[in-house]
Parts: sequence; C-alpha cells; structure tokens
Amino acid sequence: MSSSTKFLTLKTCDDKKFVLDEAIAVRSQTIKNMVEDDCVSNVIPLPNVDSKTMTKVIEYWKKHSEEGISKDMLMDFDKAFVKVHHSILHALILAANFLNDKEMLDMMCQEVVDRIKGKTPEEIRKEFDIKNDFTPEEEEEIRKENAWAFE
Amino acid sequence: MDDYVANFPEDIVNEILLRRPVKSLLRFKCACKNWYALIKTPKFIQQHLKKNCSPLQLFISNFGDVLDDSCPMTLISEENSQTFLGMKYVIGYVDGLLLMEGEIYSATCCALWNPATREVRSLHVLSPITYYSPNFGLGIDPLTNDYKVVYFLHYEATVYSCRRDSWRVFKIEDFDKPPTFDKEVNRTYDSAYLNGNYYWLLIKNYISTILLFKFGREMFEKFNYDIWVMI
Repeated sequence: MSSSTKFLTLKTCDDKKFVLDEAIAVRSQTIKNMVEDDCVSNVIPLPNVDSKTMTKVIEYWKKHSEEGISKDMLMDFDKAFVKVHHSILHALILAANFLNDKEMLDMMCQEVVDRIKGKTPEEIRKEFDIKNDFTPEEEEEIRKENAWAFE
Repeated sequence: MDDYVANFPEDIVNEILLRRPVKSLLRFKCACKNWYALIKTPKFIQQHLKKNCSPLQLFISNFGDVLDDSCPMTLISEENSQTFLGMKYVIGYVDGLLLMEGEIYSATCCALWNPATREVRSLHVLSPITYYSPNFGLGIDPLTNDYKVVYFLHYEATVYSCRRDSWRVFKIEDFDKPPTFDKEVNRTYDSAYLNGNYYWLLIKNYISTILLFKFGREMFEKFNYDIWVMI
C-alpha cells in the first residue's frame, strides 16, 4: 500500500469503532458521497448498523477488494457468505441498503428470493415477520381467487 | 434478539417480489394487506412484466371446423396447458394478455384472458346482432397502465376499461365531425397496435384512410394516406 493510504473511522450504533482503508470504505455509495462532499470529520457515524453486522459487511468488502482474487474464488466466498441465519441476512440487507452498496444488496436480495421459493403464505409471514391482517373470510376469498397457485 | 427480524422498507420488499414468478406472487397476496395491495398495483405489474421473460408458450387455435362452436383454443407451456372453450379467434395481444372473440347464438362476444394468472374476464359486447362482426382493438393507456378494449361497427364505437370494468359508448353527438367509420366501411384491411394507439387501415373507393384510436385520451382520429391501394 502506498503511503497516501487514507483511513476512515466508522462508528456503529452500538458505539464500536472500525478503522478502514478509505479505498475499501467507498464501496458504500453513502460513505463515498460523504467523502466527496468533504463531510467527513473524524468519525463517520452509522446509526442504522450494529457492530456485528458491520463486521460481516467489512469482511465482504475486504474480500471483494483483494487484488488478484479470481472470479471463482469470489463466487465461492459469496455462496458461503449468504448462508446465514435469516435474522442476520435481514440485518445485512438493511445495512447494504443504508450504506448504498448496490452489488451487495443485490446479492443478499437474491438469496431471500431463492429462500422463499415455493413457500406458503404462513411461511412467508414467518420469514418476513409479517402480521396477518386479513380476516379468515378475506383470506379464504383470496385463496379461492387463485386456487391453482396453491396446488 | 437473534430471532429478531427487522421489517424491510417497501422498496426492498418490492425488489424481492419482482424477482418471483407470477404463481408465487398469487400465493404471497395472502401474506398481508400491504403485500396484497403492492402486488396488485399497475406500477408493480408493469415492472414485473419488464423484468421477467415469460416462459415459452405455444398457442394452438383449432380451426378444424369453424362452424363448430366447441373448437377449443389451447395454450401449452412447460408447466401446464390451458384450454379455452367457446372462443374462436385471438383478435388482440398485448403484454401477454389475449383478447378473444367468439359467437354465442350468433351474437358476438369477447373475453380477455391472462394465461399467466389464469384469469378470464367476459366482456359483454353492446353491439346489436349483426352479420358483420365489429372491429376490435386491445391496448394499454400508457399513463395509467389501464388495459382497454375498443371496437367499432357502423356508427357505433365503444371502449372498455379494465380498471373501470365498464364500457363507454361513443355517440354521434360526441364527435365534432361525423364519425370516421361509417356505414360503408364494414371491414378493415389491416390493423396494428403501437405505443398506446390502435391503427386500422380502411379502404373506400380505392382511397385508403388510417383510423387510429388513442387508448389514453379515448379518442378517434383519422388521417388520409395518400396512395392508391389495389385490392
């Protein structure tokens, strides 16, 4: 690394600090905009991201910034990276959304898309923590409208 | 805390649902009222249409015996095949939606068929029983994404809107000038749909005219088309 390497300090919502090479941190469009607008003082606060999630995000960013890493290696890394408990997956999506890292967000969303394949409405509600606000009659009506989709 | 799942903002839910096929979405409509509303919005439907290639489907219209009312139309896809009885011709096609025409007791009838959702909507044509069948057009209002069916015959023109689920009848008084389709034009020679307009080629006394219907503003226009057509 050249002597001109700049470091940024990121502070998560649980007051943990991460010192990171600026070249890596600007994978986040949100951070990049702040750097370009000269809004960066000493510490960049990330009020929507906790340290546990940020550790995962940085792990992803570092791997994807490694010099000379092959496409196959990255693919294997990504495959393993998304195999996490759904609460972590959801936290990572929210973090990627806040940090505005489109590539990461896209990959995590695709994982959710793959996971909900073939699921019933009950399973979907559990996966997304959705409260069923239909009356049993209303739900029955919608199921009847599209009965073939439940076969 | 580990099991805590944060609720996604709407744009992420939108992004995730856009990547699921129609069959999944029809099930997910039951999840909650917000999802139901989202999946039914014309904007979401248009986004889904643009993002997803529909699976390969083969359409078979059985012309074996045209006089036989029962000749079915069949759509064959990888997943299943659907047969539609009672309708004879596909007379319009836009965004995977089919407009079909048939006859019941010698009165023209038509129906919209969406093979992706397997929904069928019968449209009651208001036109009187007649020897000539009306000229139909199917299209979409590009601003509101409302699918509409228009038809005209003699002095009558009518437009059906899927969103309103009703017909609007044009009367002679609705036109500044006499209607551009008149009694002598009892058939059109060709038609096409493009970008929210439907075009018909009309020929009378060797002079051709193009009649167009704008689905957005629901109005007819005509322009002369200055070439001689040999028929």
